[in-house]
Amino acid sequence: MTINPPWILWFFSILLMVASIVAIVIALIFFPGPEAEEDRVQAVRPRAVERKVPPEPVDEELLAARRPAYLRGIYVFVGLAVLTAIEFGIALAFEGSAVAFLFVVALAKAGVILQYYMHAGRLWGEEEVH
Amino acid sequence: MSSESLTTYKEHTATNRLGFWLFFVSEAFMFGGLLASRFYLWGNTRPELDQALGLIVTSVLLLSSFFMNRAETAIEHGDRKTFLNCLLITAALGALFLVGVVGFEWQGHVKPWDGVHGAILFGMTGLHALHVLSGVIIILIVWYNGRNGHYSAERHWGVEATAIYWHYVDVIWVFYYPALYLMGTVVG
Repeated sequence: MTINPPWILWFFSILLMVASIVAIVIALIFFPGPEAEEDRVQAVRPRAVERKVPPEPVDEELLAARRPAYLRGIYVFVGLAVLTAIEFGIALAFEGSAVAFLFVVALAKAGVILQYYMHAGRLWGEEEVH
Repeated sequence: MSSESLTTYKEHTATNRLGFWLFFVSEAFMFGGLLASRFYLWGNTRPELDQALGLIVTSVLLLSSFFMNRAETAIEHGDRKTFLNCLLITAALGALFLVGVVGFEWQGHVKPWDGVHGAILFGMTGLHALHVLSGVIIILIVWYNGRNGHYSAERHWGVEATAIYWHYVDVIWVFYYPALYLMGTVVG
């Protein structure tokens, strides 16, 4: 009996995907997390009403402070886009001989994402000001 | 919310954050192993892949990271509407990335059974695509929870964890994209 490679690959891929979806749904049902727990404790309104009414008063000062944070996100995105364009251009210009340079650019991009998008500094207790 | 409750929540979040990053370290070994296999088996070569498609899916993933960051920033500042909208855009861009990789790149002339090139290409993109798929599902769950009034400026670990996970998937692609599409000379 011969096993068809494409069929078996598709089978395991779909099996993995279904398993991950089931695992997420189970985790969502049985381990809803601290936010959900807090909601259950403090729930005094039905969900339908909760959707229409904001769960807490809007902090105008906090809302006003969001502009610099949004701007930083834009700067980071532009920086990453420029680095991607550079690596693409270099790869086309020096095909096969720019491995080290491409690796350095990839490291730089990863560093930017780790610092500004993934907030690696928070691991050491550096909470950012809202 | 009492200040004591908030302090406890922040302590829990700090612990959760550390555990989450340890999980990323273990994931890095898995993705790193595949990356090392690429250099060992391909050397300074690569299969002929659609460069335009590679650049497009990379840009889409980069853009999705921008919107994910914006969603997280929005909930940190109590901007619920932007938070929910950006989450949906991120999920849509993630789905678009999957369509690009699975629907177009995988239908190209390189197949999984085409020697080391096919095996590595499908192994790397397949494992990454699986993480993108789970990321999209998690984002949609967070969007659903957010729509139902979960999360606030003070309490949003679920959002932060989802954002970190999504950016991690982006970091992986930052290394995989040049390794698969740009490094080495084209063969076969």
